[in-house]
Amino acid sequence: MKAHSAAARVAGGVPLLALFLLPLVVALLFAAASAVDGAAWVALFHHPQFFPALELSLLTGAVAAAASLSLSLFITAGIFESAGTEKGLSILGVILAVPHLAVAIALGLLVMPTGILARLLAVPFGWTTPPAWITTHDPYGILLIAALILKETPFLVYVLLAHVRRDDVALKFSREARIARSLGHGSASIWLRIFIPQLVPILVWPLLVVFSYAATVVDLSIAIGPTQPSTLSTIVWADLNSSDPIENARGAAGAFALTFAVVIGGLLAAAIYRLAKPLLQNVYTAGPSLMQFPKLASKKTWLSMQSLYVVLLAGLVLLSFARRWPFPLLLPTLFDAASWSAVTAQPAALLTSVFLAVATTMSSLIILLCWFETQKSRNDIVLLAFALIALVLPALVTGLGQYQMLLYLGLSGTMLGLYLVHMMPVAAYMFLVLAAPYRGFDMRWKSVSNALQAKHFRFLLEIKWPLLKPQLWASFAIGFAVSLGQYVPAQLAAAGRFSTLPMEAVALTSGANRPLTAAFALLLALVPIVVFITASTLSRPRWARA
Amino acid sequence: MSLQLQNFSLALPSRILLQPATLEVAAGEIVTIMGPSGIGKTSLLSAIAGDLPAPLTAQGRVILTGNDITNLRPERRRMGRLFQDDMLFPHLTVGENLLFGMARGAREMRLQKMEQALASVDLAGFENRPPHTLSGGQGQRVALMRMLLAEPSCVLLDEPFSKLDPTLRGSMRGLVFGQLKARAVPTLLVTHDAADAPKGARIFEFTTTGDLRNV
Repeated sequence: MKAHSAAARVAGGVPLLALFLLPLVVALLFAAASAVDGAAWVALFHHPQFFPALELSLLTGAVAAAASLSLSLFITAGIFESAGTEKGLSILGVILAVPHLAVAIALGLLVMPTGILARLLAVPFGWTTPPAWITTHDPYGILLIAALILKETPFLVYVLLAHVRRDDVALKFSREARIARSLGHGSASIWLRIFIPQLVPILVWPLLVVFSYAATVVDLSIAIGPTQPSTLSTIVWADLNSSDPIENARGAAGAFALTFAVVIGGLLAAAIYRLAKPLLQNVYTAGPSLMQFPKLASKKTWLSMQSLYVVLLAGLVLLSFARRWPFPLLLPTLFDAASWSAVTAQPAALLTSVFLAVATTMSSLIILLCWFETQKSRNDIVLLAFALIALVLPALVTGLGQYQMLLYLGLSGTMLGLYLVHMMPVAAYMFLVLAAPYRGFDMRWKSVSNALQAKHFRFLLEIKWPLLKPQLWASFAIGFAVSLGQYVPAQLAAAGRFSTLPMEAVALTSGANRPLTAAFALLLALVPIVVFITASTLSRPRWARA
Repeated sequence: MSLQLQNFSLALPSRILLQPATLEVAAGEIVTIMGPSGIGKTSLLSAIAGDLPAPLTAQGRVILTGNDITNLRPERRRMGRLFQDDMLFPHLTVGENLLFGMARGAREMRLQKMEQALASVDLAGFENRPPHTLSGGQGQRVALMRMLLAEPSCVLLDEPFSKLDPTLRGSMRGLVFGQLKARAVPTLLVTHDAADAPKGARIFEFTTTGDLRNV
């Protein structure tokens, strides 16, 4: 490593401090300040729907997290040996790139009374009119939970695969499996008793992120969540957007109440795990079992999930071009591009979203590279802590704090303000993706480069960054998708002066123009998919190695 | 109990590692296979145990006490294995590692067997220790007992002494061979160190031409 002067070291950390850490800390302070209002808390607890809504939110989060965890373990156990294929990984990447909101809207449109699901059932059941079912805003939040599971399972599969495919872990697991087999354990027993217990530490933070997100998400809940009562997040959201300052204060209190509930829920889950540990330990040591893992069922589950994504996207395409689509028919009778003309006639939301995504990913990349190149790796712990805080805290809390900060700075309703609020989650995610490969870079390349008398900058430009190209592009694609998925902070910071794709899409879900809703949801899904595919094409190595 | 290899061969797509060989190991016998590293000794043991990694392939039959087990899953073959590293599961205590492979049954009896096993290798009271706190010799002794408590019908040893302190090797060899003879299981040992082979036992050399030559 080149010895940096003290000045260079300080300077290298400044961009990240200015664009990520400082705004985050200040926003958190603003958020905290807006929640210390006793009257608001009293009003919150007197809100007739507070407790039922809180219960609904926590239940949604817990069920979605538990189901996603089980499914992801089931899928990973079936595919981890064969998932090394580039194709399998890029399918996972495409699925991860699709924003939650697009999946939720597509799912809502699929199961609505005139949706494709009802049309498929109409043939065997002989229906001629749409069924009178309440699916899109079902009172138990089943659809909301389903959309969350559909998005969070692949995320957890990604987290698990990224770990078990690491060379050292893969070698360790295969050796442990060999020993366990020689002691008479079948593949199901090996997963249950050897692999899963060792994967728990890897899963703690991702699970907390999933639980927190699922229990506090706003845009999905508005689009397809229950309404009477709705989840607490939508009640808080309505309060925050109210013109009544008293309701605003109650909303701030509500955002924190939800956060505390999530933290308590997380601690409770940890406590239950602790208490159950002796029981689990008994399971681990109960002795050999020859039970085989149902690999085929696992692979079929994963394939079904992928197919559902294809069906969802195809449904959006059909609906966005549908002009006339009489009920039991599976295909529209008349197509036109009216909704797409409407989209292209008003490209502002698309352009704003893409501009923000490009600007935040590019600047995050720059501030992170400056940080990594000038800061000692032990300083990363600070960044890691704040990145995790940024991702675990509900967007309602961080968004609220950011909004108060922008108001104070006079930046609410400005592009700079929008840029700043998008920076926070983008930089946080990109840090998490980049930290391990960047810090783990084999510095013998630097020694070789030094021995060839290359200057440090030339080493970065011609050796290090090209070698890290796949990881840099991957972080870019992820940052892009994250930026495109922001709803709460964007809506608050835009103050009605700007619109982004998720804002348009959420607004459309309350209307009756389904083709236009479908078009926006599809756009929301396709932009990050295109970026992901482009990024993975560009990041391909010059030649494949055997 | 006996282990028999019939016309057993081993190959990579590009070359043959082991020409068809036939070998019988009697109950309580320890047969040593010697050869330099990389020649295919470990692969031979993997092939016998049934978990040969691709692209390696094996042909021929494996007969255990008269039963053809060539097509059985590894976990059904009851073949105990020891490696250079103790390979104790890091998330389980020493005692739990021993219980892991022990047949199901009454809890008290299993715990008793576990404690006896530890005591028999001078590790009484070690059951609650995490594996990473053990020395190399202690870990290998636990691994030995874990293997034996699973009551293997045959044992495959893959250089289990090579990572031990030279001063420890002699006593560890004595312990391992004594335990195996006492249980009368057929044992195959692969090593590159001639000193590993028990005295008076049969030794084969794994040659670069892919033969097992009696020496």
